[in-house]
Amino acid sequence: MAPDEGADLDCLRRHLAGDREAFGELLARHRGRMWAVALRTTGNPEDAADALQDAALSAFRAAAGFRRDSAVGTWLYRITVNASLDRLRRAAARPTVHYPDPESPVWREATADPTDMAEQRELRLVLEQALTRLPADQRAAVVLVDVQGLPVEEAARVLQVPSGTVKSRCARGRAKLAGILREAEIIRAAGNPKPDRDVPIQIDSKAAPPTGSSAAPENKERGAR
Amino acid sequence: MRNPQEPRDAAPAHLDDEGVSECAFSPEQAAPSALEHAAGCADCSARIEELSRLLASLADLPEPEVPESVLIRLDATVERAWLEADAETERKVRTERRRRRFRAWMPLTVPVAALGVIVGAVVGLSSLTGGSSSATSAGAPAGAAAGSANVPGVKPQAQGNNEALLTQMATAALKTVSGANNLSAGAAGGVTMPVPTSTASPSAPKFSAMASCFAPPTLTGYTVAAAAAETYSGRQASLVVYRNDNEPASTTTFYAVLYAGPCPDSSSTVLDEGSVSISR
Repeated sequence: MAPDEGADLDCLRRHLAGDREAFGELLARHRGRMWAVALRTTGNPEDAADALQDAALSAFRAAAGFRRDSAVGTWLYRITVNASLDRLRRAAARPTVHYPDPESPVWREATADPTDMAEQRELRLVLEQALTRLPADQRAAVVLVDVQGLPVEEAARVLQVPSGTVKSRCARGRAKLAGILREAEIIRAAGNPKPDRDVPIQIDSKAAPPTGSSAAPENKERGAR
Repeated sequence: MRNPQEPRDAAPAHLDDEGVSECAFSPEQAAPSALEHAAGCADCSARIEELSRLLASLADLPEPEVPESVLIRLDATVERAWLEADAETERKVRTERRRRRFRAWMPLTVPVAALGVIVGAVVGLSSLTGGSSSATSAGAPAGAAAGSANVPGVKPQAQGNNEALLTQMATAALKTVSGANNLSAGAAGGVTMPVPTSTASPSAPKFSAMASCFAPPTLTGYTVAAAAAETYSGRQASLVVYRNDNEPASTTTFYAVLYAGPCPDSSSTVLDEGSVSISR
């Protein structure tokens, strides 16, 4: 058992014994990753905040039923992803679906990284926005496996689908992402003859250099790391 | 990824999305034929390289900071969850208490129900057979009620138990006995019937000399402590005060029975009866 897992289990045990601080401690250990998953799965901070709140409440209520057939972190990821997808379904039922606007202060705050270099922001913002253009099932798979770094098998447990399904969703999601970025010339593939410059991707023109020949090699270099 | 329609020696088709993804994400798990194709296909190797860069960029995305407003909401959520949990616990405790109380009383439900049925049946039968009632007062000694083997034929009347009046009558009768005993030592034991000698004031119960035919009905396990002639609802009556043989001579708790007529016997109508507690 990993040390982190031991601490997580200890928090859960104390929580179930009535310790009022223990659940907050558990949340504090995982809320960063839960927020990242919620934000990237829902695609906007408002729904992500609602999803995270739903997830915290669900985890609180389901703590007594936690079976140690998965890590506490995996369990929390699963609850968060489910809450996020549920929020997405509700959002889809609303008359208008809003995708994040990179100019939005809310989105900026949500994705702010104090260590961010100006030249990195373009790629990050385009990537974040490209993720929101994926179908929800592909997005969740890509976020868990490619962004959060979960093994395919663990992502399968989180999403409660077979590993093959996760691989398939990731493959299709990655292909779509590559297409979106290729269109934006963010990642230029060798032999890509005609990048489409008219794709409706909004780039933060104030904070980052315009997409063009000067940015592409830098991004290419970053991507190769 | 060979197209089945193509001859075996034809150039293989390009890798599909899953093949490219597998080669870029986990080449160690990719099919050897896919890797072999990629090695000799410029288009597919370019796509694999492109996807590898994409994967590196995705993995490099920093973990976004949780906004302060979200942290506040999370804290409030946990606090609310505890309040809900406390309320739920309280509700469960109350339910469990109710269940335990019900369990404690459950063994009595059948006897109580049976008693209710019996009382109901007796009352019903009594009302059918002339309006007499078998209702007895609380604390009635066994055998004081109608149908008793000890007092056969004594039929209590459904006059309603007037505890205050019975107590008043019994107290007066017992005081008379006490006075008589004071005057004639050796009367303790109570079986000597005092004979009231006056009717006292107009407001006091009207006493009349006990008739010569007076012989108080006996109750098994009880001793006659006092008796007095009374008037009850304008009719002559006889009050008999019994003391439980298990009680000491100094007891203040008696059982009073008001029989109809000056010369009650075991077949007399019981006008009223009940436990009385007198103050000495």
